[in-house]
Amino acid sequence: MMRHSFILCFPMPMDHLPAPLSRLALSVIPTHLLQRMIDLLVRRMQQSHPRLFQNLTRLNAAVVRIEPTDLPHSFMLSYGSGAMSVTLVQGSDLPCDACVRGKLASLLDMLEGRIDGDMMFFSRDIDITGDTSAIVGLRNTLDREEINLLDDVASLCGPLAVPARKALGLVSRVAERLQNRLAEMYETRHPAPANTHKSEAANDVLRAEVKTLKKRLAKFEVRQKQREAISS
Amino acid sequence: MTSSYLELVCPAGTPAALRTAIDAGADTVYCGFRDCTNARNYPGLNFDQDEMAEGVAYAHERGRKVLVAINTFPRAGDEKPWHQAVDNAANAGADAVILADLGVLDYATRRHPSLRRHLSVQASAANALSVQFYRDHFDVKRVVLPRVLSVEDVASLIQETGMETEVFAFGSVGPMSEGRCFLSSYITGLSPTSEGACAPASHVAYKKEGGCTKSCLGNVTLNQFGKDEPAAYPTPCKGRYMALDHSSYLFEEPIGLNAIDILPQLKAAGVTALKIEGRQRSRAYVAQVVSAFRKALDGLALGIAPTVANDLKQIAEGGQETFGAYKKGWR
Repeated sequence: MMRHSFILCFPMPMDHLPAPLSRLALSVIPTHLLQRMIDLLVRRMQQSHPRLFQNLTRLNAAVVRIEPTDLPHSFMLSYGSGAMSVTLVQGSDLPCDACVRGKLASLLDMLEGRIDGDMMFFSRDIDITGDTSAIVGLRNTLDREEINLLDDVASLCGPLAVPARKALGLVSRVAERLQNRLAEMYETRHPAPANTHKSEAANDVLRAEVKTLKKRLAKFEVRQKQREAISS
Repeated sequence: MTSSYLELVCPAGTPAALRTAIDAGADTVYCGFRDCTNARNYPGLNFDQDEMAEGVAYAHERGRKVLVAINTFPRAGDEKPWHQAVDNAANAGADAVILADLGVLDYATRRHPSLRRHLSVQASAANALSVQFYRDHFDVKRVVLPRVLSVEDVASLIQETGMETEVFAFGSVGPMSEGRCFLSSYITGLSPTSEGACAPASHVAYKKEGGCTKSCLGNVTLNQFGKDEPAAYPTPCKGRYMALDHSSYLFEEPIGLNAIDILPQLKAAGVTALKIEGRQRSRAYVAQVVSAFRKALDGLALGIAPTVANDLKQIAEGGQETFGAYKKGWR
């Protein structure tokens, strides 16, 4: 998500949990500890978003696997019929009703309502398989709620929530800058081979636009000549 | 009845989307109840009665309006949910109801004569005779025109009928006879016009095969997308079919309608309101589209042609845009 990374390059107040920091944390924290943190976060969110949980219980019971393609873990989200849980899993062989795959940044953007899920689907940035009604129901139910994971994670620190939020913002900015620097260094040392597929696609789009513009110009010229003929 | 001000009518599939639309500059928001009475009856979407009343209050506090879409067609002998929805909309303080069915229009006219009635696009009233019929029999104040008319057609219909009109400005191209399309029901057995969902999610499946993704409705494969190929909604009208050994989009390509560049022409045609489609889309979509149109309309009101950067292409279906029938370029 270039747009996402670009925004984070600026020293601005952090209003959402940044993907690089989340990715780092989710990759290095031991699984059992991470599961405990997730349980705590879910309990906290039950308090801060009661309507979300109430709405989730209105859905038909389902297990949806959320699979960030840039993480070693997946999340099994179980909801409906009065219960809700999130379980961290490794591998993708556990049974589920449906699965959503995409980069962590895209999934976080969707969860927090910053990006449209259908757009991600059209552009193939996310992939869905299995029971579509489970995914549609989940997506719509999450979108009903204004979720800010940064606030929810910070609130786990109780009375220290405000300094924790500031610290998270600071750490995330440092992590983001570090990532950008590393990416720049990598690009300098390993000039990327041209993505011929994408540039070809871009050329096709440009060719089509030029063709359309030429057509429109030709029409304008014909009309102009007609007008001139009439006025003369 | 025409106005020099173009009213921006925006979608809200959820209470959060309603607040987003209003905060982004919508003049009016349309939404529906959480059942088969509206044409976007998808899981997790729409409003219960309390949410509707709260949404109306939020809008009215800010001087905006809420329209309630009750635009599906009752099943024979089962009109109660539709009648109840009209009563609930009136109780919630809605500014108007958007209706399509003759019986529901009749009920609303008799039971709630002071509740303003708009004719839904689902009624598919695309000519002066049809529009006049609904106006004369049910005192319909506004008609939402189907997406099959050119700007010139729209202008002449307004001139002939003198009716308030609402036209689609962003969303699907919708070339079918809306409210009378049964393609999806042939496959699923569920009628979009009565159940409120074309290609209901319960019948949609995506399957991975090699590097491709197949979209299926029931046991019919509608489309197959390569790894980097833009995807389309899994509706039969946007399926890719084989004919004469050639696969193509026979009915409709995955492309979005965007009229932002022809707002002056629509205004000159006498249009009253612009409708943004997308109650099934997220509030991120609502924020982006409504903000862009608000900016363009504010510019237009000041006499400036819309020069806002049109960056809505990426959010349109298939990542492509068209003026649709407004400019029938194929003629």
